[in-house]
Amino acid sequence: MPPAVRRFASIAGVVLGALAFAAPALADNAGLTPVDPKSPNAEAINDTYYLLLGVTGIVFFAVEIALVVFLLRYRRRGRPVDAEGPQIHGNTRLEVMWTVVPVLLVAIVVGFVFYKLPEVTDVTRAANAPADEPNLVIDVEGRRFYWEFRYPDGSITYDTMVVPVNRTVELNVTAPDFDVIHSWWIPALGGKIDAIPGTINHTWFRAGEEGEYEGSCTEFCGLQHAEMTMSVRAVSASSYELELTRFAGNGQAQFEATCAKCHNLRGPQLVGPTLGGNPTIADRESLATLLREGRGEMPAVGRGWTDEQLDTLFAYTRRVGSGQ
Amino acid sequence: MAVRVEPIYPVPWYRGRFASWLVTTNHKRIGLLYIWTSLVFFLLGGVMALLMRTELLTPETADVVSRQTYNQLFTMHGLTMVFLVIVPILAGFGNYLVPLMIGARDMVFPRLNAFSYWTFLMGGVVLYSSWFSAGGAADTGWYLYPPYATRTGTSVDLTILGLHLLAVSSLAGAINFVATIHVLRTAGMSWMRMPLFVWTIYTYAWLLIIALPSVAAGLTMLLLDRTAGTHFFLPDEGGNAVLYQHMFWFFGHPEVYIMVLPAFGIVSEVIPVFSRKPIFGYAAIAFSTVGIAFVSMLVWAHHMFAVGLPNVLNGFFMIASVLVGVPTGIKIINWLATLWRGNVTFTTPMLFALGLVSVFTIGGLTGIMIAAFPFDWQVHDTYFIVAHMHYVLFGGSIFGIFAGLYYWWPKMFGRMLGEGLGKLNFWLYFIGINLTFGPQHFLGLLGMPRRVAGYRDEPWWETWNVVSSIGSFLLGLGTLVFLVNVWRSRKARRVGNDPWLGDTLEWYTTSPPPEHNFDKLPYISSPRPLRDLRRRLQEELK
Repeated sequence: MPPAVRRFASIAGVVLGALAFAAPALADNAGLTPVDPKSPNAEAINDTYYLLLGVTGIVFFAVEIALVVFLLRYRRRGRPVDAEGPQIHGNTRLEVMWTVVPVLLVAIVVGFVFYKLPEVTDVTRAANAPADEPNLVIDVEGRRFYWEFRYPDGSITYDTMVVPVNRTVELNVTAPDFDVIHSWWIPALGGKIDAIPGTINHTWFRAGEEGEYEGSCTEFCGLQHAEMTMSVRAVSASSYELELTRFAGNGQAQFEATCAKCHNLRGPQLVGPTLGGNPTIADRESLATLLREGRGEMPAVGRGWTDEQLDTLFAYTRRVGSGQ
Repeated sequence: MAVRVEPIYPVPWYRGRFASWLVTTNHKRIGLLYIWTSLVFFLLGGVMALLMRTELLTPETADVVSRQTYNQLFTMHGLTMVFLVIVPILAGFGNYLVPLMIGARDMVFPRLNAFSYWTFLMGGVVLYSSWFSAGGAADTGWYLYPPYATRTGTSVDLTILGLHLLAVSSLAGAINFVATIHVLRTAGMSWMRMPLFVWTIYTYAWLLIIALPSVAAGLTMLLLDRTAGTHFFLPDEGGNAVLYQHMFWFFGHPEVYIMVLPAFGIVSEVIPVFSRKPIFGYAAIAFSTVGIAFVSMLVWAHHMFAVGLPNVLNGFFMIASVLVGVPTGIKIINWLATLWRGNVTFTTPMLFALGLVSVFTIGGLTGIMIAAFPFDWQVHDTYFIVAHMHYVLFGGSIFGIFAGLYYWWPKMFGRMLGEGLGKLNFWLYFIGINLTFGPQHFLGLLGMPRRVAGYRDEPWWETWNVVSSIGSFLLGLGTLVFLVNVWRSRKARRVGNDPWLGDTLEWYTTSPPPEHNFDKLPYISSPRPLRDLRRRLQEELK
């Protein structure tokens, strides 16, 4: 192949290869934009992303195109190696210009962020929300390696938060004093906030559609950080109460969040020993001691639990643990 | 019959082939010791990165390395690349080049210089010895956040000791650089005639002096919390965990500029030489270096946007952070303007320098994006940050360092690195970095958190992870090519004083330079003394 054809073929190959990825990537969001926002604060963040992408995109193309053009235009092309270009040392007017333009660009970014900020931080209510309906306030506690959610009616769920759709949910996010820092983040429902021992942080969301929204702990918290995932389950207002009772006081859900990430019930050892047939889980006192104090590598999963929480778990482990 | 001739004066032991390296106080030998040691750590840190990328080929956790090992790998990878590769290799370049560039015979405190190197080596050995301690290497992330760092069973104490040694080493070295640059410049070498690389090392040194005490204090308090029963950072005893984050990042963010400014300095040396033009806007580049350094001390809490600071503070740190973009932009545009109407030669050092301009720009722009704190709430601690940070530190620092290695190799060893292998090295790195870290932006936007050995099985996550891992293998291959190139350069052709037609004073002496550097020096009347000499020579020959 002559060089010109070869060059064309290689460029075409690269472009086609890129398109092969780009086409499906554009078809379903493959990461070119954040996860589809389903909450007003996440939507405001998404808008910010598009502005940032626009501003930085312009600068990116300006720099890269200038670079490529200069390299093609001013490459040596048979000139002697020591042939000098014009000895230009600078140009004050130009340099002032390209100091002022970036200042203006960052001013646009800063201005837009402050313009959008209230939409992210101010807790708003749905337009059609009844005036006497309070916002749902849920206490979120990050623990190694699960999330505990406490509802206004006293219900407790683990890893799965049940909320009614289109109702504003305010979160008080923290971690117990004896634990470590975690971070609460459901990508579709807004930005993250750290769960810091000794501090209560606040955030909010309002799920606009029914569905299950997945998220992960985003502050490294130890051995099972990767398994510390959670989800928000947005259901219709009418089925909310029922759905909540399905998860609250459910020993199996509690077991899966707090025990099963490290322990299999049957089969091979996972991170910790397999639990089936283990006498500890069939004895309430030794189970309570183990959970409240931890052992070796195992964190004190149940420290601070009420007797009721312990009972719910124990009722489940006693049933499944002994049945060989 | 062979006659064995005994020397009249026996060579003392400390002049021996190996011993002379142990007792040397010569800045060039110490510089080379720094560079070789850092390159060894670069290989170790790289192997750790490849192990992590191999683990991430599949969503399953712990199919290649165990969970605990994975956590130790990303901790040690970060600590290695920051404290044992980039900072010390730049100290190595600084040691080798600053005295040559300013026309000095050595650093101003040669023994302190040797002390710096040996303390650095000791710090590295202590840090790595933690792998063999009872708890194993730290698994906390390179930032050692409490309360996790006080609750883990791994060897955080040895890590802190290693970091303390490295901080002492860097402080001693930094004081040495500042003093040398102040007092040892040759006749005529005014501040505004210093090579831009020397400007960046000067700034690097001041930043180390200002930033290191903060992290040293933080680490000492952490050590006391762990061992002496204090509770600075322990919430269950009334301490404040976030305080440590302030102390760490007050160091941690200037540290980024410590790692990247000297790489910019290398680029500012390389681009004009291979464009055959003076740098466009010398003063603007020099002062933007100082400007970046100043602002860099006011941006630390942009690492902490998610801890729940008041939005007034978040706003302040956003404004300060995006302002860094202004002097950085000035540098990038000035480099482009230097190319304009030049005679551009694509040597390997030039390719790496141009690669930096191209790739670092991406890292700089994503830096503006994540400074906008509501957007950072979305991508903080996700792979978006991993991508951003590697575009800055690989695309910025490492590309600059490789430009420097290829550029000054003939000065250091009197022999060239091969251009063919060098270009292969460059293209593998250039394609590799974009394949590895480009898709990580997407992963971050899709919601994949950092520091996980396994991930949720969601659309595209595995695809992008596989692409990223393939890219990382290309980076590994590029590094192998570099090693082959180094090995083969032992037999490469010898070069004269100035194989590149350089501009600065280090090219005035032989390659490699004699122990005392220069027999005599010309009076310096511009930032480009060697070009002045070449022109004077041409005029005399006419």
